[in-house]
Amino acid sequence: MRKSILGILLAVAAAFGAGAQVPSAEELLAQVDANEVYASISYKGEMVIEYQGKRYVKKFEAFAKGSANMFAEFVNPEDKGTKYLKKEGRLYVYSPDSEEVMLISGHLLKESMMGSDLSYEDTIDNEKLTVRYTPTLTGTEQLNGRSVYILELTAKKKTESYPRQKLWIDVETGDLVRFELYALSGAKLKEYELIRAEKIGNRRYPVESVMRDLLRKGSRTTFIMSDVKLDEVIPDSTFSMRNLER
Amino acid sequence: MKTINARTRAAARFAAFCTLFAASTAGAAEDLDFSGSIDTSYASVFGAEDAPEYSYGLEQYANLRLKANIGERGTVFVAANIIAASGEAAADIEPFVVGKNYAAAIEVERLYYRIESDTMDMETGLMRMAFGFGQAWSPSDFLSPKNPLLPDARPRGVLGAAVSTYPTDTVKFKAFALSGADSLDAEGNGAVFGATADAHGEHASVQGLYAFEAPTDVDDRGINYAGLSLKLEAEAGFVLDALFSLNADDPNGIEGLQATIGADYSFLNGDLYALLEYLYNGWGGVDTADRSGIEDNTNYLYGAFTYRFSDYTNATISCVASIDDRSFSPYLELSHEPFQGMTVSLSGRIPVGSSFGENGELGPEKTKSRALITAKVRLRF
Repeated sequence: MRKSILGILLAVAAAFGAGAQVPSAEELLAQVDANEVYASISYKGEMVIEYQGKRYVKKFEAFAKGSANMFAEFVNPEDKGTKYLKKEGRLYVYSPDSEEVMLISGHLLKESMMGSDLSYEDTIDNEKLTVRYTPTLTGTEQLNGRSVYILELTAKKKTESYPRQKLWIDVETGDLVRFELYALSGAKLKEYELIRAEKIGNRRYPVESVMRDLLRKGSRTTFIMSDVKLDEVIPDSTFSMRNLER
Repeated sequence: MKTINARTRAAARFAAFCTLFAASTAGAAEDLDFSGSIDTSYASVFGAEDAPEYSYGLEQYANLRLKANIGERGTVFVAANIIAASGEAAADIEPFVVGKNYAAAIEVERLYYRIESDTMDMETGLMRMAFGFGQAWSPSDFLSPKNPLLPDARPRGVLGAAVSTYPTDTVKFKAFALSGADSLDAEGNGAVFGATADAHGEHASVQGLYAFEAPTDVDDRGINYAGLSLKLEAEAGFVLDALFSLNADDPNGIEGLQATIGADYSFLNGDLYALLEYLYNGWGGVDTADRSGIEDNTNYLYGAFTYRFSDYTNATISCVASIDDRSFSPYLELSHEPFQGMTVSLSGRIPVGSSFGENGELGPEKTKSRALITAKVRLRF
């Protein structure tokens, strides 16, 4: 009996970093925010979409500032010249075919962006999780040979697209290595896995990841970022109708 | 034959210009983008009235676009359509070659440049000038309005100049001057001058338009146009797009109004998209036949449902209805993407008339068609 109690204590100690102070749920979530929520970002992006035996590659250049402004221009031949602007909660698309700016209606924001496993909302979401969710630390486990904390998040507002989330956070690096997004009914909607994070400035930023929309059976989108620049000055004019129409 | 030869020479000159342009800009431009699409379409027409009982059209159509950045402030745009056709499709083009097996045409679609300063942009040449937010119809887009009977049609360009300024990131003012509808008129008859103001907010976008069409032989004192377009976001999307034309020689009253209201929404987690628009066509004194696909009647309705079977396969069923004469033009399209950049589609339209009046504007009697079936392959590059 004594042996088994000792075994449990050792296991717990090992899991929590051999006696190191276990951070609170709020601290862990704040650490995720500190790594992933930016003041501004620019990067070259590539989405590799695999679905129903087909493989599509979409390339683009993106700029974002805070949670209100995002601009992306697709550069792969099939979509060349298609541009997206998120401004003050609305999404505008410039189509080189019609040479017009189209206004994306609110009901379309939950739909797949360019056939990927990310919705328009997913791509324009940059609000801090600490502001939107209440976290609970539910334990630790081994994931791909690494010790991870498990956080469960409950939305503070009913309007969140994903009322519940489950996060796996690397004990050593603080990387958000996996998360799952749930509907109000409890059904799992999406899965994310980190493939690679890079140290950029004083933070670790995810530059390669895979998202799966579970409503699209067998679908996955690998999201690869390069030339990532965080928190550098981006002119406000980048996020303007003028830039969209150019 | 003389005309054909003249057209051949013109086409050869244009082709030479494009080649020279591409070659010269490749060296001079900092950034050169070449893109486009190529379509193969086969149409079967089952005729009515005096049209052949059955006819076909085969068309190879390429839309080629060139964009070159010149220094930090200049951009040049050139686009052309190259068409080879036979059968009914050849009858719809203005060929420069009519020979064995096919007729061929080249259309200059865009030919303009933009100069940007810190405060404004100036564009000059043959360009697209779009107005309004209407989706099926867009009355305020009076220079090249949408036609739901031809959903794949490329928007026509207009020759002129425009200056745009952006006081904020979401507000735009634009002034423009365009040549008249008669391209051979050298006296400025029918030239169009105007201005627009656009503003975009969190839940609404609005555009105001004023334009004046200079006098012509038909309208001695010209025509004034006032347009208003509004797009509202309230989970569903709502649109109002209206154009009022005032002919000083012949005041139109309510007949001068052409307006559409509509709504769009998606169901079944976005798999089903629905669009409904009503058009009031009270346009008096202005020929709208080649502007928006409608002619005589006052009230029209458009409904469309697009169902997504997968990311690569869609079906659209739509219908244009002329309420006044109870004629309809139902349309069904199936489209599939076998791989990235390629779309295969099969569509059919069946004009349906009524015993009311002359069988109706959209019916087989006027359209001279009982059914139209089109198969199309599109490649993007």
